[in-house]
Amino acid sequence: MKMKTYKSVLFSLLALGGMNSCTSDFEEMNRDKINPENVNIEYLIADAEFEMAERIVNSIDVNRNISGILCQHVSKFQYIDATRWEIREGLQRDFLSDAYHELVELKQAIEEVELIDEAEAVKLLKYEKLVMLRALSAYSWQTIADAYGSSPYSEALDVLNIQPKFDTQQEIYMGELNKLSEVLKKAGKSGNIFGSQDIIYNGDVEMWNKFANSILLRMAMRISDIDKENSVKFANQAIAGGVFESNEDNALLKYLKVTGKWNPVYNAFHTGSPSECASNTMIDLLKENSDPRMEIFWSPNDDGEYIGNGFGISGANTFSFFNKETMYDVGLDETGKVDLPGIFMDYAGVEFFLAEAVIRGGYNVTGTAKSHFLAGVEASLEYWGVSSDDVATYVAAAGVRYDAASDKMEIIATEKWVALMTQGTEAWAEVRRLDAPAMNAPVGVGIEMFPVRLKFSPTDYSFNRANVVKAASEIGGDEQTVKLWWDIK
Amino acid sequence: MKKKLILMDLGFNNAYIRKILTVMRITFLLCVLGVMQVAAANSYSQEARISLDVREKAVSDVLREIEEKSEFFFLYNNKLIDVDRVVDVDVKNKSITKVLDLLFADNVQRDISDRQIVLSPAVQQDESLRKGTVLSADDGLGLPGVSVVIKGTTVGTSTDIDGAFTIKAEKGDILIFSFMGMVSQEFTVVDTKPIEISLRSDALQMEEVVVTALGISRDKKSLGYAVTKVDGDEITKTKAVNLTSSLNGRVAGVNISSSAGFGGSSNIVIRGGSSISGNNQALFVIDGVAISNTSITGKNTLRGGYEGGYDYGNFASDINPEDVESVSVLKGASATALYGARGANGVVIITTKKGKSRKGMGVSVSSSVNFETINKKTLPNYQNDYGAGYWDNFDTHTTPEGVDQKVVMMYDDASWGPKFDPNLMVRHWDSWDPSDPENYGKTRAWVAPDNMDEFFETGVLWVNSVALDGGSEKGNYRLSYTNTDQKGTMPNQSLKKNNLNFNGNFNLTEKLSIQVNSQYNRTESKGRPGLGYSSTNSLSFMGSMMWHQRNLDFKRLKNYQTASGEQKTWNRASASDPTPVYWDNPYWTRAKNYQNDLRNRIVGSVALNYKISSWLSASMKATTDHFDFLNEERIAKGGKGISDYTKQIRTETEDNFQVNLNIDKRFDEDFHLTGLVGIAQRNNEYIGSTISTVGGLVVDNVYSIANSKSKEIAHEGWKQEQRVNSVFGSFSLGYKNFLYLDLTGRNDWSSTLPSGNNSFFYPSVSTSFVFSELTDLSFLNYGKLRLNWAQVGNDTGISRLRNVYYANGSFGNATKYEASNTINNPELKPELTTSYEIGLDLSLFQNRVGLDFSYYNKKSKDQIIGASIPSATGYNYKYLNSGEIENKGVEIGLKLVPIKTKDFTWNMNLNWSKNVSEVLSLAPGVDDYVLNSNGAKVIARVGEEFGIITGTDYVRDENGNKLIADGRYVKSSPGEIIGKATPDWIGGISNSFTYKGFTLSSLISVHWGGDIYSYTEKYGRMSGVLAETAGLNELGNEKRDAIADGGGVLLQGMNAMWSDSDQAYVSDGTANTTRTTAEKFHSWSNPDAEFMVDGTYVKLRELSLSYRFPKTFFGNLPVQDVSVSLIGRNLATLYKKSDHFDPEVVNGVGVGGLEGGSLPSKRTIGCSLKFNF
Repeated sequence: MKMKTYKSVLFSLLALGGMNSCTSDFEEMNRDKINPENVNIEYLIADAEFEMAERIVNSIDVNRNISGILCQHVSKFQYIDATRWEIREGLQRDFLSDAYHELVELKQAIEEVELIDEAEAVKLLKYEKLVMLRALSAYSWQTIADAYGSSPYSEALDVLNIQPKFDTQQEIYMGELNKLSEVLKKAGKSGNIFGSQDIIYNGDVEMWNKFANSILLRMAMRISDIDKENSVKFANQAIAGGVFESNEDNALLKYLKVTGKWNPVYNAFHTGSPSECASNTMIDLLKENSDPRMEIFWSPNDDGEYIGNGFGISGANTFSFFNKETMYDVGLDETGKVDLPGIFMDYAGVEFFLAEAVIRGGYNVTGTAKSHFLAGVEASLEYWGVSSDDVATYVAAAGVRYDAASDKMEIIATEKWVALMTQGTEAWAEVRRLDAPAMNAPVGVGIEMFPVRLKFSPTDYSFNRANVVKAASEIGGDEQTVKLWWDIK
Repeated sequence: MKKKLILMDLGFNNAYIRKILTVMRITFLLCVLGVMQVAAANSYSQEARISLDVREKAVSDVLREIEEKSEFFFLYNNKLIDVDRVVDVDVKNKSITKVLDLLFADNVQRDISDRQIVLSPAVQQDESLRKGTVLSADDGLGLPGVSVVIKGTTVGTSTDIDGAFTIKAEKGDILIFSFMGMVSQEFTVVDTKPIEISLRSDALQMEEVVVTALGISRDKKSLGYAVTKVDGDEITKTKAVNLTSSLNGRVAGVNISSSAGFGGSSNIVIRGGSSISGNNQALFVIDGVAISNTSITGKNTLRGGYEGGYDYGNFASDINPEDVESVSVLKGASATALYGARGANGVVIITTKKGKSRKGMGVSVSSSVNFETINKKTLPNYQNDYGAGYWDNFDTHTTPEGVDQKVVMMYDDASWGPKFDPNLMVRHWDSWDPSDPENYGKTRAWVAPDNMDEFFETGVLWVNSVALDGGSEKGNYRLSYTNTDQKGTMPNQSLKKNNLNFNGNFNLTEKLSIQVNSQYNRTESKGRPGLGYSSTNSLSFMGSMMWHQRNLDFKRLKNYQTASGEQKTWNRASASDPTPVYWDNPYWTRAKNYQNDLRNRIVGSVALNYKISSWLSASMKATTDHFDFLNEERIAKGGKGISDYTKQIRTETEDNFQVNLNIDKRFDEDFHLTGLVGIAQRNNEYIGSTISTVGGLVVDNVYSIANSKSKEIAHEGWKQEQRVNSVFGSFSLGYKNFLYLDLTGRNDWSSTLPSGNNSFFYPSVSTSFVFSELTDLSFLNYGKLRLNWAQVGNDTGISRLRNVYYANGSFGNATKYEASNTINNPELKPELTTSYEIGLDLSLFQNRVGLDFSYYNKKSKDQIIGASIPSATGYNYKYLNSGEIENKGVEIGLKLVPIKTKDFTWNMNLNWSKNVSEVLSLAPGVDDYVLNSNGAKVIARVGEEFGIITGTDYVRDENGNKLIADGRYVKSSPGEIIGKATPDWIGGISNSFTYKGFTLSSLISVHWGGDIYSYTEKYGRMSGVLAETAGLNELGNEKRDAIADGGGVLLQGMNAMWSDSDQAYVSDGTANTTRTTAEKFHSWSNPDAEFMVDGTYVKLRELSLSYRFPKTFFGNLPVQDVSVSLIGRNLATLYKKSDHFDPEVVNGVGVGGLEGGSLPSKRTIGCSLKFNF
């Protein structure tokens, strides 16, 4: 064997090796060629608003959000696990993961806005933008806290910490109340931010200020039983800052009569197998009060009767369904109201809070409890398009019932419950807090089994086990019957 | 003469072509008849008698006259043979041999083969030249390439294409004849007579030469790692369409599961799953070309999940089994280290058939037909006592005449309804269509026809193939064409495959040779079955049958539309409303909502080899694998789902370029060094898009994107590139044919990893010690000990380093982009797998017993996983370098020849393997990694076996009794271990009995243990269609009767009570005596553990009887080597524990462990015919 040959082999190898280490184009080659690494935050804002509505508005989907059934606005005649208060694991998982997904998009937007130099803050509407983003974040956090109680908060939304600890519901509430309150103090009340990329208010800063204050009020009132001091403090700030004053101010996502941009509930009926129907809780109450919203919400059955199904009962579809003309369609054609707006929050709800605040006392609210109560009732009737004669009749009757009621809170809660129709997420929270109207127990299931929270996501048991087990133990067990922090009654 | 013209070119005349065509045409007829009445005859040359009377004619004229008077024809070169010589011939009734003796002296050699006579100049006579022929004892044909060496010297030669040889040898010299796979023979030269040697094949030594990494052929005894070789004949024996599935049960340590879907996937996992990230599929290499084994299956399809979908198969199924010469399965990292990253899961090396050196051209033809029927025993086991509804009730319809009729609860997709009663007449779903007067308004008996199996048809599979081959010392070629035509077992189902394959090998000069391989495949299919559950569009037949009514008559369902084309489903909303409530009529689905797909694929390679010196050569190879794939999926208007048209187009290309230097040097008698060093580059490109209509179709029956209701169509596109640069080297040093040392090394640079971390090195060392060479034990024919160690790296998927945003459509004037669901990671490191293996090969008792034993251990660390992370991060997945997984196992292969006589041989082959894995650690902060989920999850969890199944379990007391509360089993929190997806062990037993020309062979494969979470069982029980929801309880009463009447089910276990101190249910110390209604018990609020099924099965996978006609049988017909076979696949499941589905079945390529809507498995019976010219 000649050394020369060995050397030449070795040499060629080294040369080839050298060639191979030329990997300078590798990084470019490996880049995603279809999807951008950076986008303008306004695209994320539109996405977060839309996805939040998808999650909140469709509150009768057994796999995503079931609060419209839990609060007993709606019942089911088939696949009755939901009306038997059996909540699917997929829902426990997805309601949470969808919320955090919105929040991470909002967080990225907030981080970018916060980079705006103070010198340019006024010109670039820095704090006005932050009011909007903080308001949406607070809204989303409240839905998490109201559903699960504890959840990761202080360590959440951090790509480097994949086992965040859980914070209590109180910590989430106080954190968000403070953040929203702080930014509201710094922001002006006029101008336009993000324009048509804001699909709720088209960028109107004045509207966002009202919505943000209304959210602050909502969160403050939710903790009125457990932490009156903070409740008063934040509610007063909200009222002073200016909350919703008419249905014109309502925070809505106005769905479009364009295929694919329909109201998600309509969409669910259109593509799935509707098994939802009117609940006896709702129909009985509407009948009792001769409520003109009956025929707006519901269609009579084939026999011309309004029938609500009980809970935990399956059966033939001889019940009342949503009214095709004004609500969702339950058939397969497209005659229903595909563009029924999704409601984030409305003026009626604000008035009911103000009525409550007067009764509780200590809040800076002008006017009587009754006047705010009746304003709420009237706003709801008007929103749903009840004729002015019927509005007057019903408001008068409500006033009579109010005067006669021994427990004013109960009648406020009951009227509010009707007014929150299609806002299942909020209605479920308020039913738990105000304990009215009375819920019906499913056949064969005790009323004590009423779900007052969602169990933690099964995903956390797999991927964040130590923290979720600790959180479960701190709240007294991960059961759907364990009451939340603010739910002391 | 035109006859001669063709003869000179190709070696056969056009009469032969006609015959080929005729034979091809009658091929199948022959096969079906199975008998061929052809008189046995001696060959033409021995029988033919010639009379000639010619004067003063040139030899060429005499030859022409013989051709005219007989069927003989001559082949010669008139520059070498003197045919101008003038002769006189006068013979009567003489054989051709005699006539030729008169015409030519000894200097002309006459080779007579049947009708063909080749004239060539005879080799110069030499006193010491010995001539001879080596024949194969199996078929009596000449054996080319046999080594002939004079014992004790290096003097030698090898036989030519006819098996002939000439060697200079003295009297008394001993000649050694040896050939791979044959028993060597010695012959002592005594005189100058031509020597005739016939070599017998050695059953056990057949595998001596195996193809190893990078296509290097190696003597098996020199290998320090396990390689299993399977012959092409074995694979094509029963004509499975997908090559992967025909390896099932044949190779120890290889776990294969197959889809029952049409043209669906086969899953191949070698030595357990080591890659957490999901792809544990072995790499397929065909003639040195690494080919894509992409598997296109919706994620949900894998899960048997909600949306269902189609299984488009694993694309290694493009390999045409008919072209396969042999398959080598490389199992350990040492065997595959030269493949770099992609070898980590094992490599299946496929060598295609090559042209043989021969005279003229060989033609081989094979043809088979198979009939497929479903195995009814793999359909769910249904109850036949109760029909539609949720309780004991019918609707009522009053006719215009005022008669009340009972109406089936058509809108309910469950069978908790009234008990069947043949005397009860009711209105069924098909009695409401006025355009069908035969059934309109009529009532029928309330019974269970129990005829779901009639939905399935008899499938027919034709495989026809023809191959031409030839060769000389200049080179060889093989060209083949195979046509596969399949009609499926479901309505409207077909698959057509055309494979064209060319292999050529030519010596351009003495030193330079070129090899060209190319394949073109075209696969077209229509009507693949929908899999999984797919409740939104009811595409999956078995998915829809989890929810049905036992009163359905499948004969009647065929009537799926009205005269005007509207759907008629059994699940109509009401008497007046024919809208499907949950499910379409399955015949409507098959006819209207079909998919189709088309794949064109080219695989090719060109290699140049240059011999630099006797021990050094250089080679260069360029390969490409490219396919384009189109699929179209439809949902028609008028059904359950939103009408839809979805089209996917994708192309994948892989190009490889490789240059290496090869060394093969003997230093002296004792040392032999072989090796190579080289560089390589691999480029992959993936481009594709999926486009769907949104919101439905505007015009019925028009399937185009332009027909979308929404103009904002759904689109997903991708364009990805990857490059890997490599340097590698491999050296093998042999000492005295008994001790071998192999060293390999490879370094890869991958574009998918971050720049500081993109280089990784894989070394391997292996040794082989053939100890039988050192002993003289009479019973030990062969014994080898092998030992190896290797480290293999791996890169990651494309574009996993930087986060991106995804376009998410618009809303009004707003444009939406969403944050990804997955956090990419710029700090990924390469994965690393370290393994060692110890093995023993033994061959005993005159090679009647063979043992192949391996123990292996492999540890994979830093695996890159898309870990599920808590959603509180804002994301659901993150790419991370994970911890460590260990796989260890034992593989045993046993070959026995229990009986071997002159005419009768019994060969037996057993293999058994067991793999045990443990997840040693995962990434920091990751407790579980989900491999697959649908209700229950298949996961990797630290400290547990890889692929455990978790979900909610029963809660038990300290004695193991289940706790019961409120008439139900108490459920644990999710995440408890309730099973494992991997088998305890797998094995196979194959037997073959050969008696003269007859061969009977069978293959049984065993898959022992492993669990499956069954949606079929969960939903089927919930809907009351499965057998266990009806029948008698332990009191002998109907389970479905009211509890007050002694009905219901008694759950075995202890009553539970809530303990505040334990924050859990505990036993109250009393046994449950409260009965639960059947409906409540079978609801889905049961723990997931209730739906776990044992995955064990023992299957008679193959059974075939073939007959090979003796050479003399066809006499003067040109056909040779004719064999006919009767074949059967999956004839019987000998043992299984699942009541409602075939446990082997998977939906697509995945980890298994979850089942939902499995199709019944198919039985195949057929026959095949093979022959050559």
